[in-house]
Amino acid sequence: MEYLTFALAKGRLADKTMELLEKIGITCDEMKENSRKLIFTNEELKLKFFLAKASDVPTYVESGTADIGIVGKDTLLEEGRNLYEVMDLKMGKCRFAVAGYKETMDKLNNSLDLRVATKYPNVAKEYFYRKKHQTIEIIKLHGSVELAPIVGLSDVIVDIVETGSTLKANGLDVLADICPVSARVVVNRVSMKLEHERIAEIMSGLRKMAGESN
Amino acid sequence: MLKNKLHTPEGVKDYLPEECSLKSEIEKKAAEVFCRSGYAPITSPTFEYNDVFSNMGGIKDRRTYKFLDRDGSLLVLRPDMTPAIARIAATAYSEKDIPMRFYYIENMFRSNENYQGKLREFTQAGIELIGINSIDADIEVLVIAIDSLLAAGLKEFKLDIGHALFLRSVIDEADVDEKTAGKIQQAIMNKNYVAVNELAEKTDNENIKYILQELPFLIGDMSVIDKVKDKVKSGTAAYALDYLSRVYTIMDSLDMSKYISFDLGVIGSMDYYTGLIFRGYARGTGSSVLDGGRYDNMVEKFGSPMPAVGFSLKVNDIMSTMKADKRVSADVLMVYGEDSRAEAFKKAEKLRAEGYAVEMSLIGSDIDKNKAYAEEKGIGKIVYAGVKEAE
Repeated sequence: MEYLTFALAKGRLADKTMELLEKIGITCDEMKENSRKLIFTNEELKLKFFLAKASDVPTYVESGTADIGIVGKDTLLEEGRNLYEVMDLKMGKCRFAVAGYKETMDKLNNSLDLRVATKYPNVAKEYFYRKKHQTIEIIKLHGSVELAPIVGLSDVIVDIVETGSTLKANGLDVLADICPVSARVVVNRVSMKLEHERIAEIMSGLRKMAGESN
Repeated sequence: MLKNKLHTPEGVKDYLPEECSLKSEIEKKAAEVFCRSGYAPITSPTFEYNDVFSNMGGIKDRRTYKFLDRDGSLLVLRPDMTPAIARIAATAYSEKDIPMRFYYIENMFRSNENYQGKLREFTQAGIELIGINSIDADIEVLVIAIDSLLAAGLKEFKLDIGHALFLRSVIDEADVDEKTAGKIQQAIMNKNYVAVNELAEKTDNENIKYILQELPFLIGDMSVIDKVKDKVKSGTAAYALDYLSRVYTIMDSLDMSKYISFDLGVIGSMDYYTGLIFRGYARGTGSSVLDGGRYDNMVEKFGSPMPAVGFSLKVNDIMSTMKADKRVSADVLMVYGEDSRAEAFKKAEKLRAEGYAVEMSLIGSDIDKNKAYAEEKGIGKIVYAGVKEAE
């Protein structure tokens, strides 16, 4: 039997995913130990796990170096890779939104020289170009996007919003919703075929768990 | 400016001897299989008019490399062989030449996203069987597909078969508004089954809802067909399922069903497929190693209606499942001195005629030096022409 490899998006999502997997009998004790290891193995079930930066998870899965990935829809939308998106884990729920000062609402809807700061240029393009048919200028940032409208780098931002408290604390508001986001299970194209039985079994287990928790 | 002089652009590459010989070995083996099945070689220009490929339901315009001809016509680097062969079949041949069997080994050019490790120039080896629409034609092509994957050296692979009409009629049967139907199709194409799952809620037909929601798991043996057989009403979907099980039964009688699995959710890599669709998957690469299917409406677009079926091996993806470790070296090192030059060359020619690869030593006639050289290069035998071996 070949190893089945999971790529998990580092952070809270990975912890929650492991909890969920544990409920359907997929465990990795090695991962609970605090070590500097990068790859964790369950020899009994022939499983491997590794943690990666969220935006890299689709890359690992598309290439086949990981068979299964757990990652947010936000990353999938931005990366646009060729892989199977098989399940919504209904965890890590949040949404993509346009945010800024309330006063920019007018400019948001009428301007052709709107400056949009974001970590997600593809999502911003898809929303403004394809849905709103509005020409914008995109400014790519790598973190603390909320800062951009405050210091005057951009008019608005496109980002994921969970509770909106960070925005509020800085005097910003959600000006428009783009789409909801949650954690997804993605599968490599070849793995889906060659490891179909094992993957289908895991998915049906996860489906039951996700159904119960709702 | 040295900046862009010493390396190749992203997505195109040099093949050094080890890799190059692995590549040509695969191509040679594939060509042998094609030849032995009665297929004739064909080539088409590396670039031709964009109209040949545009709006054919193949590679999207934004993924091709285009440039202008002297008279302003739009030219394109060949992104796909099938439309080119369809053009040739429709223009250089006629009804009386049916069935036509062609094979090719050519480079294709497609623009891919940056930094994804994908090639923009890659090699395909494939066949097209033009003029016949029958299960026998489809079986012939499937058998050749399997034979060529085996000949190329793949051991563990699967050929997934599906039918272009199945999903189309399932979506029809869902009886949802046109916009939703389009969204379902798009979601299936993007393999976004989370979206398919949500969209499936819009149909009142419970059976269709089941099929759509199970789609990513409708992969496997005959049991897959049994799972959905009673759930489709439309004649077309039932026909597609029946066709697939007939194909399976025939492949089984040829002892080849172990290579076949069903994938009812398959939407071909190209929109031009009209019937059987198949894709080959092997361990060691993240994408398919073979794509093919039936395209009965394409040759018609070049003025002569003819059904057709074909496939292509993705040579580079096959290579990525293998290790290029075969050293490329001659069989014999011919060592000679100035006075034995003529004798050496004559001897070499004789050995070459017998099928040996003979390399002439250009480092003088020193025996130890040549021995070290042959060992370093992996040349098994040294022949000394007129040089006395001091042992």
